[in-house]
Amino acid sequence: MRVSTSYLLNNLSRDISQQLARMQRLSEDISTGKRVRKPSDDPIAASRGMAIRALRAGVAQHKTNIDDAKDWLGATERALMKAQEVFQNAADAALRAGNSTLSGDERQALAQDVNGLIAELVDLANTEYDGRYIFAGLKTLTKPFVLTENTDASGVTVTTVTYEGLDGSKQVEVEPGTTMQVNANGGEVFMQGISEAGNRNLFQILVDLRDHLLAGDASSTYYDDIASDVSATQAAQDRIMNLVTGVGAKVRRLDRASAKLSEDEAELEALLSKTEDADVFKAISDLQLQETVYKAALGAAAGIMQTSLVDYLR
Amino acid sequence: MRSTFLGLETARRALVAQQRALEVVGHNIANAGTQGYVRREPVLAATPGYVVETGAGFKRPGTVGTGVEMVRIKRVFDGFVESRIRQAGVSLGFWEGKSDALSQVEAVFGEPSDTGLADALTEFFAAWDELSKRPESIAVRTALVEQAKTLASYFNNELSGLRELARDLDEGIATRVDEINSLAREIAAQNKEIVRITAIGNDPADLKDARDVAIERLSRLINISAFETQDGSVVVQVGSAELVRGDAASELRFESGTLPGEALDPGATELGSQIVWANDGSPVEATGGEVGGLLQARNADVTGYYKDVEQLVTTLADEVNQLHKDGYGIDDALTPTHGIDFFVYDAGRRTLSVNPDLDPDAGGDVAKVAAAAQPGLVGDGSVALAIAGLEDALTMGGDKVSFGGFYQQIVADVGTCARQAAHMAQVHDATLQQYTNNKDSISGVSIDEEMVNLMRYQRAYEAAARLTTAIDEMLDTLINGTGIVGR
Repeated sequence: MRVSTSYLLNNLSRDISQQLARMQRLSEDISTGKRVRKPSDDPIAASRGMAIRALRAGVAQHKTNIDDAKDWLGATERALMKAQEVFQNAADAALRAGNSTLSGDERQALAQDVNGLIAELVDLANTEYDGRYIFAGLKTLTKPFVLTENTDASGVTVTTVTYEGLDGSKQVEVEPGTTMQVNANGGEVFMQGISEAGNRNLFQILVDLRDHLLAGDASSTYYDDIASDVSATQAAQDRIMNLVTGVGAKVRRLDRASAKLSEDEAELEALLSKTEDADVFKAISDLQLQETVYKAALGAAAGIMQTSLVDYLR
Repeated sequence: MRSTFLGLETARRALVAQQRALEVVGHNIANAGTQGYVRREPVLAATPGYVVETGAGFKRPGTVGTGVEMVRIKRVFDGFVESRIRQAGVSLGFWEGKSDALSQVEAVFGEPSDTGLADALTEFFAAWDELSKRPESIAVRTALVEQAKTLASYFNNELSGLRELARDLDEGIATRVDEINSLAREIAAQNKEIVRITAIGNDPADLKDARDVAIERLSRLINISAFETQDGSVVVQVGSAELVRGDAASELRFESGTLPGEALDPGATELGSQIVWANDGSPVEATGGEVGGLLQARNADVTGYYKDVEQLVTTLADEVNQLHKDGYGIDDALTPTHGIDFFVYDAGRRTLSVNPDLDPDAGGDVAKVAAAAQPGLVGDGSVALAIAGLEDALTMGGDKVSFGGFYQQIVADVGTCARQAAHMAQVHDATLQQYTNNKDSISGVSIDEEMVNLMRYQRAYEAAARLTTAIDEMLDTLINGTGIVGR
């Protein structure tokens, strides 16, 4: 084959520029650390990378959701534990009230203690977390429980607690497609009658205990009433304990879900890196190889271009 | 009887012929770096011999040579290789044009990235998720509206980016059409000159070189075929119509079509950009070359991607609005708090924005963002939760894929097409290189070869000069050395 000067030079410059392009690509791989910088670098990996990113963002969001749900449930649990203590104290008071040696003044003092417990329970039912009333159902900005004391015609104080909230389910998505109710509705917790306590609600149990103490043993049914109050305060404790157990079970379920999400997150991170990242060590060694080739090509080009018959004629 | 001076004449012819040949070599060396130059080869041939007569009627077999002459200067050229170069140029131009356009589409999408549209879409749904947990919070509502505005601006930038790209491509095609017209006129003018020079018996080799360069450039721009006619002129065709015949060139005109997203007059239909013949307005079958590639990218690819993105935008706005309309804001004192859209898609200007009623920057109030399913329930985030759930809902492509999945498909498609175009451009570049190598191998100047030729003709010239001296000495002997016997 005949080799003309332009043939030689065209091919040389083309080979050298191709070699440069290869090296440029490798050095870009190294400097960005990414193998897929635009969709055409690897269309499948690019769209896979986008899908993994979306999954990763979803996992992060669900983790945030779980953390928020756990905070909310924690606040609920703390409030319920304190309510449990309130009824523990109420049960103690009821047991002491059943003692026949108790003087009238002592009963009055006990009644005042129970009055304090009523106020404490209302405060607990109005627990705020993150600026919201956690037992208000879905009316989270409205103080849900209002204590009113009226004096009736016969001069007896009538204590009532009304619920201003509205029960509803507050759902949080904790896993893709799975939601969990995180709120305990005030209406259900505090206002629902307990069958073991004669269908009275939590407030009513305390109010009745106080009223029985105020009435004192002048009332013919005093000791029977106090006996029923003792069992009612215990029933209330059982009920609250059940609720606390339910909340605890939810927290444990969230802990498991969170641990799984953390694993998923690490897995997705590794997958994304595998999909899009350049193998930097391989890129560096490739670059060194290409550099050697490039230098050799330049050397050969210099050799060929310098050699000409012209140099050898006279 | 031969002339006494025949030898001198033979030597003279040799001197002239070798000198001419040297000039050809010089021309070759001078043009070793000229683009499109086809090397010349001096064709030397012996002049007709002279038959020696020996006497009455007798003719001895054999002739005495009378020297040499340069019969012609050959343009060392292979028309087949040249036509292959043009064909490869048409294909290379097409894929280069397309690849160039598609890599710009890739730049508009800017994926994969941690800060692209796909990411903004995920963040948008995450903001609804956050709102579902804290529907009472003005800060969370504001964050959602801001995130929605960010998403809207991403979509708007992408749509306007694609529209601008279509406009740029139109401009690029128009520029190339101008170049095609100017090349056609150049070829026609060269045709005229070549026919004239050929007619008077001369060889317009240098003009032919220049014309081949022009045709080669033309083949990169648009799908052409060319053939040479008897009189030396070439006919250049685009499709089945003639662009150049003899000294006449037809003109092409670019007509830009509807830009993607451009508002249409009532009753008007969407038109692609096209190239027409200037004289009668009939369409040019521009299926190859850079113009063909750019036209296809502009009319099919860019417009198609625009429609895909727009479909994503409108479906997203519709789905979000549908759920949002059913919900309630948090402040009953504000009107309206129910039945309002979240997004507004301006079908005329093709822009997505958050309903100004909800946007504090536009005088709206984030309290109106509907997160609750019933009025007055400030802690109810069920509507927000439902909207957040749209992220994974199969809403696109005939309810087969989610919003994010659909966008991934678009980007993957852009990537695949861009990759294919770049790959095809590489393949055709290699093919073209192969044919160009063939041409260089046949027609290119080799300096070494020319140096050898230089010596050959120089030595031959020197020998012919020596021959002149020899004959001169011989004649000197005859003229000055005879008839002086005994002097």
